[in-house]
Amino acid sequence: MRAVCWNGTRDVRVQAVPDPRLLNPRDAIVQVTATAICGSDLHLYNGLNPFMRAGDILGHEFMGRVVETGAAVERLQVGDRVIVPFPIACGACFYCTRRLWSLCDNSNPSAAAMETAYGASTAGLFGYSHLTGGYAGGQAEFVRVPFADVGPFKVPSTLTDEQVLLLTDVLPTAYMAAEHCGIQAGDIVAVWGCGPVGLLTVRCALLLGAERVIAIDRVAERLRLAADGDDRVDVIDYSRRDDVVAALRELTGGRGPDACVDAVGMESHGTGARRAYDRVKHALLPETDRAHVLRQSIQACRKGGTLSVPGVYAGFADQIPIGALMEKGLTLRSGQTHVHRYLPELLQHIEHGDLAPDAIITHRLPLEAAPDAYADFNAKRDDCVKVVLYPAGH
Amino acid sequence: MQHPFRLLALATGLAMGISVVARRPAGAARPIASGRTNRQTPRPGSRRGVARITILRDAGELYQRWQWAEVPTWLPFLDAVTPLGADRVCWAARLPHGGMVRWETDLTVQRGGESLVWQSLPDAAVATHGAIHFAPAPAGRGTEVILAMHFHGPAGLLLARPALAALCEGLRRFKQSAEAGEVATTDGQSSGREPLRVREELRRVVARLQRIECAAGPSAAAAAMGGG
Repeated sequence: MRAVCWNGTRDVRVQAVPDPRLLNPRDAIVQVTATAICGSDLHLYNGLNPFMRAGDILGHEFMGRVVETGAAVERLQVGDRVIVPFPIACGACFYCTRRLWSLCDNSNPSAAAMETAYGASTAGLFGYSHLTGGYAGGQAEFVRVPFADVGPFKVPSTLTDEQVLLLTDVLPTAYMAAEHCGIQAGDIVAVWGCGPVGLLTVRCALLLGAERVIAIDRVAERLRLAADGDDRVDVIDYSRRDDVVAALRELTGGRGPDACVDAVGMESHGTGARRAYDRVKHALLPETDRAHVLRQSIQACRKGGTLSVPGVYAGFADQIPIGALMEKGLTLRSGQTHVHRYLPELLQHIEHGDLAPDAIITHRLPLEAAPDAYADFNAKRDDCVKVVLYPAGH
Repeated sequence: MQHPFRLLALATGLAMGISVVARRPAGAARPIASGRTNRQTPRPGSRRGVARITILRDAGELYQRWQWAEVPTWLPFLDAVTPLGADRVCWAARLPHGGMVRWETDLTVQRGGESLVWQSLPDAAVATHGAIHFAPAPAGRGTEVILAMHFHGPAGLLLARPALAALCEGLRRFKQSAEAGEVATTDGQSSGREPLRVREELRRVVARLQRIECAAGPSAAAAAMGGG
């Protein structure tokens, strides 16, 4: 089969690889009909994860049809059309039984390495390095799906692939980010980063009752998509206005946002002296993650407010204003998304027209176009916001 | 390795080093077993390892699941474990530098749903003792499982390195099989590594052909390939 393989920093290729096969009784094989490139794939693309190996198959947002099931699979049948959550969960451990699927105890074959790095192992993830299990990803014609009775979620034929594909990651991630804000009547939510997760977080925060949302980015097209003609959304272009904290005060009557969402994570660009500081420390090793957005959101958030961090961090960051976090009594919530938890609810929102995640898809391409698509998405060229690849044609 | 993660990798390496050191006899470890394994200070020339995990199953079920014949699937340093009657077990393992070693242990404690303790026979090829304990965890959290192994003497110390390195992972496999019904793996999955190697080999062959062709013409190249 053909698959998108990581071969080094900014080097992805479409290669011929062996077809996947069942390795465990609870596995299924899915023929991929649509697969997306995620913003977090760009961390791998840019070589920020040392646990990648040349030849790893990328992709954790994919859907398709079941073509084979293991002996212990009972709920799925060959021919079922499914979306597949990006975290792999056993469904039976302490965490899965508490619906904390991305913290599954039993799905990460590299658990020992992760325990050493983080003190505990979390769930295995598709196509996301050997720290999270080294599972082959779904940017391919076929993919092996472990614990197939737990993850894959059947979708109705009335909805198109594009309407449901983003349920595999970015929509639930945005929804969990908004839910973590604990939105109350009158709340103003600030969202840093208008990539796919940030854009969908704006919609989810409004759906969950935010009075207003303030979107922050530097790409004009992305800010336009965030506002989308909705007068409940304000935007801040930080390339024109680098004092974001002051701008947020102006837009919130001097209080600061009730909740702040960091939908950027470890590769934030930042501005001014702190940007230079991060670049130097990054180059000299003592800092792995650039936490510019996290610092800014702690500073901006109102007293007693909430920070929600769906953006991916992986290692260490410094100059975190821990004093402000403590003294202002802020609550910080984060984590990989418990995708399984949100699927029934979000599917209903899509069916009712409350959410239209496919609105952010800007590029529809064959699998062979993956190398160029990665480059364009990474460079934010051609107004690229969300790429969907079609292994069997579109 | 990319520079932003070197520190994380360094920290990981340091931490791994520390964890290996921590497995050495320290004398400060709390007693983990009753009977002959209840020894706070390992005697000189011995190695001990302890692994702990919490499993979302009740102690009675886990006690039943600890079947001796299945132990090598969780602890792959063992080649076979065979029960010999109700109170004795025969163990077999491959030594790190080759050769197989077998030894027998008495089951000195078999407390249903709570613990199993074993002790090698006085003339056994490997001097060892060990225990597995099952204790209820706080509400809704299943069972706390502690697996401990001690090795002494020349053969025991040879075996100690692979055995103790495998304890934590072994207990994790036991947990996975108890909770999830299978052990998570990616062994045998697809990747772009094999085709890549084949392609690189082809590229080398093509380059060699081109060099020969440049130097001596097409017939020489064909002859060179024919001769391997």
